[in-house]
Amino acid sequence: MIVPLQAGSLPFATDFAVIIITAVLLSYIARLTGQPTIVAYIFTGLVLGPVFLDVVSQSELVVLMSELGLGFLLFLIGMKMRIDDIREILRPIVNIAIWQTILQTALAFVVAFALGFTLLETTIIALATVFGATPIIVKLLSDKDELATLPGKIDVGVLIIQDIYLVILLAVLSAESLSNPTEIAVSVGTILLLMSGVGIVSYLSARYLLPSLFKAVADDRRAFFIVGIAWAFVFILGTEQLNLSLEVGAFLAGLSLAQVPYTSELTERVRPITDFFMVVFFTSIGLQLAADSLLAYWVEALIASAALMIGNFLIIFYLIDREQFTPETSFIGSLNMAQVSEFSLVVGALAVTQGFIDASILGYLSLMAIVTMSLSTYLINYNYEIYERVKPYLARFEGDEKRDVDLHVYRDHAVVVGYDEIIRAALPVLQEHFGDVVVVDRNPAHAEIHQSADYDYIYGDFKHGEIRSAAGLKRAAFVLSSTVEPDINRTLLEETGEQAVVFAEAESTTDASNLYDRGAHYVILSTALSSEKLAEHLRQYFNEPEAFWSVVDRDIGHLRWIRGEFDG
Amino acid sequence: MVELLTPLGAIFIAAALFLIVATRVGIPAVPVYIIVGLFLAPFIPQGTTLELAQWGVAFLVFTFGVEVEPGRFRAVARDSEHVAALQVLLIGSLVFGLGLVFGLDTLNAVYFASAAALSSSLVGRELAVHDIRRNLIQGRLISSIHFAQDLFAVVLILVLSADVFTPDGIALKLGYGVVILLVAALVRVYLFDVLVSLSGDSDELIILTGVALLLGFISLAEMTGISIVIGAFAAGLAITREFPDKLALEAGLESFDDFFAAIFFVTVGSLITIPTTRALLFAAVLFLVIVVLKPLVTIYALLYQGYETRTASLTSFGLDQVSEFALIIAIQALILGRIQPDVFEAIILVAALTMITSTVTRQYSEPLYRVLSKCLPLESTHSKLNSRSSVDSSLRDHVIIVGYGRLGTLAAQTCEEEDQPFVVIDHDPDHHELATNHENHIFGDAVSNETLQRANADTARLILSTVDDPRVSKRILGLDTEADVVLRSNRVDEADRLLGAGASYVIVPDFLASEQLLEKIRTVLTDDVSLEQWRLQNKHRLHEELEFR
Repeated sequence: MIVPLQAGSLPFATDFAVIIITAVLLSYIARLTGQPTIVAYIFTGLVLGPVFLDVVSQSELVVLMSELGLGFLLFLIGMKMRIDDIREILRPIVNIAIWQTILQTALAFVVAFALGFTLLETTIIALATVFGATPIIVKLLSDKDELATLPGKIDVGVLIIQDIYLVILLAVLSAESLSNPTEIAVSVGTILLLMSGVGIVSYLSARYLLPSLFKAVADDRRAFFIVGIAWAFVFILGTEQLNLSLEVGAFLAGLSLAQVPYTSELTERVRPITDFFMVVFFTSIGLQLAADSLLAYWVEALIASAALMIGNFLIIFYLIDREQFTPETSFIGSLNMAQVSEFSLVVGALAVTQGFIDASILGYLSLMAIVTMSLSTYLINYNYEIYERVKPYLARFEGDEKRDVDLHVYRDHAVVVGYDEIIRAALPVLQEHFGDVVVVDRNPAHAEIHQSADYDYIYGDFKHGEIRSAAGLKRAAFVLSSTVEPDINRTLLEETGEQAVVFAEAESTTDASNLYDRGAHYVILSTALSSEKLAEHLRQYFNEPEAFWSVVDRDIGHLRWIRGEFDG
Repeated sequence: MVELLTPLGAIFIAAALFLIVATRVGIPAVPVYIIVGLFLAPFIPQGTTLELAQWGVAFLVFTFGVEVEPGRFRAVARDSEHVAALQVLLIGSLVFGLGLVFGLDTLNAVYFASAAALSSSLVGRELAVHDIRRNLIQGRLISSIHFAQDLFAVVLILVLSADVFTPDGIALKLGYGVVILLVAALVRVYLFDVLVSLSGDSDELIILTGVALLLGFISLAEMTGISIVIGAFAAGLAITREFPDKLALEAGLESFDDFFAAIFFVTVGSLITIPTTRALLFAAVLFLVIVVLKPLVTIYALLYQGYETRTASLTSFGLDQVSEFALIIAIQALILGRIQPDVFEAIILVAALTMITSTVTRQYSEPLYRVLSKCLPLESTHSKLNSRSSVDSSLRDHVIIVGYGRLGTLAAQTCEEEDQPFVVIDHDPDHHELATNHENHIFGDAVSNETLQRANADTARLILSTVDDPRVSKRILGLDTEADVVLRSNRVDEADRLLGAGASYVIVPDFLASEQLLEKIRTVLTDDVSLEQWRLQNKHRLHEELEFR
């Protein structure tokens, strides 16, 4: 029998409607003023929470969704940890990251202690404010198309290493008690032990289980997505059983997927709901703050923001410079990193829940995040302009032994969307002419062909913006699209550069004509091309049957040859 | 740690395990979720999960709303095929009567009937995607019947959400519903473009804007006390068809949809406990009606309207399952405390069951159709075939052209120029309309005997199929005829197989096109051409061809 429910509908939307609508409106404002959306999300919580309106309360669903947001965010971060991307500069990056963590923690500790916080508070603040804000840096740099430049790669690399540190930190903070040094040591030890256990599981599954698992479901978009989410949950629930924080599990789940070829597509599928849950998460932080706790330390927050922005900049500048990069790289690379991460709030919120600090410290951290993020947005947006201004003063850092690593960046290359017999025939010509060819294909059946080929290959759907930018679409000299989806071809035509040559495929003449109007140089209409051939064949069939049958024989031979090539 | 996290994780992990198996055998996700729910029932706390499941309802309906376009209404209304949706009313009233006989009150009889009459577009379309994409007549019938049914379901939900079933009570709800739809129309016309331009090129923001609209309309619905389904539907209507970031929004919504739909259907499944005898009786009746009676009624209704036996049978196999909207109606009724537990359980059980059997009937539709046509008196009046076809019965040594798309059109023109007798066969009403300017044309399915007999297939000189449909190819290769057979396939490996099976030649468009493409690429890369001029040349050539057509 069914448990009777209370009469009347379950009101579920109103709280969320208020949250999301406010977040969206504030995001519009943020976008118009060039600010990152995260700042808008943090403000959403402040506006709706006790500080201003006090209209939304933390229901169970709000808490659930913010937990999920954090979990999925770390899942995404884990999936992004592709060592291949930073292999060229791995050693300097690891050096920079380790020293940066140590020096910055020290700086934050000194600043906070000087401002009069207690030892425990100071420790938490110092641990929380070490990180650079990944979403801001990555978003702004990718908008400016600077992610693949050397400073961009250094920054992203350092952020990746920091994430590992962050995960350990979260695990430690969520431990039951941290009252004396022995206990801390014991719990850190246990945590590291457990984490390496989970890490081994994740490594083994990445090796033996995941490639075939995802290959089995990659054909079915829904099953693919659900299996991805389920994989995250396996680790989330597993680490929960071990009393580790769920973020650790989510991160390791993502990490095990990082080297699997289907990850790029999965990332794009998980991202939209993660964004949504993150809005709820940041809002829920604001909901915890009363007006007096937000502003309790506003003077201290402003002083600390200034000190940290300048201090972080100097520390990272010194560290990059020490690795013998040019002053330009050191300057840009460190300018980008001068802010406090959204993870300071994650760490802070966790510390509040655990009772290590009270809400006013969280308020202090929120203010710092807002101030440093908003300011550093301008620094990142005008990084090269600022560099030009200060260049003369950096002359003393020049040196003969300093040089930048040559990074491989897609430029004036060919991008190929999809894969079929037509494309296959064209690839050698493109490779010969452009050298760099990137094939973006979402058909899992071709994965093996692509992986053994000597062009670059991205598994994923071209309709995701991130995948288009990973293929360097904006800088491509030649684009060959074998998809007949008009929407994708239209987007592609909008995003390619002025000089790029675009070949697109269409199914109907209407679509084809439309694509020409939007600037396609050539539209492949395979039925049109083949109908002409067919008409030719037919005429032969009626008038010179012998010629017809010999052409047919030739074609059939060719077809069978292609088939052999294609399969093997 | 939030308590809900564990059940949520369990839902996804179990769903994934089942799906891995189900995708192998081609079972759609929805029934899989319901079955997962049956197993997980003890671990899923009812209150909050149900709340989360409502999100699933919201996104399902929202996505449907986004697809609903004013243009589509007109297209469906123009098609004669919408008449077929009338079979819904037939089955509905029959089962409603049965419900009353079983001693249900009016309201529960309506719930019972809605489960029998409405069929699932989510499952049906997934199964018939092949026919729909090819615009075959049964594909068109299936999708327009689903469309009409879904709209009908939305109205039904609106009426059923009334607090009291007096004319006033219903009128009030309908009034609120209309107001919300009007607001949606206003947003669509005046506000939506502004929101899009405010979002700029940020994918994240455009997706959140979509979700914000959805939640906004839902809370509007909650405030006026009507079903959230109407709010979600209205939000979908508020989103226009064409705007720059549509791809991003669609991709984003798909993720939400997949995420919350899983929670919804699993939760629905988890609401079933051990059914009583009465629930089993209801379930048995419902099952028989949907699996046996509904296809028969559909077949006869379509035959009566003059469709071919095969078309009618294949269409009916796309409609023999319970609709997700019937589940939504049931769950709303459960929340309102109006539905009898036995009826509720019967509906959910039969939904899962019929969605699976529907997969089977779909997979074996051809053999089933042959069995049906042997043991039932299925006589089509052929009125559609007759009224739309014209063919000279004394054709000899002629060419049979199957399919009147681009390839077929040019082939027909060539035959005309060469003075060769020919007949065109097409099954797509739009294509056939164009073919009527030839002397011999048949509106029919090239797989059916009737059509091939009319085309005098046994005395033809050449049978030329321009459609990439394995069933058509197989049928033609199986004919007892001396004619040369030229087929079409879009895949090289299949072409190879067809050649092995006796085809004289197989047209592979991509293969024929690839040579020409290579030439074009070489021109651009090596020759000294002005790009813009070359582009305009290509464009011009296309337009010339268009006129030629």
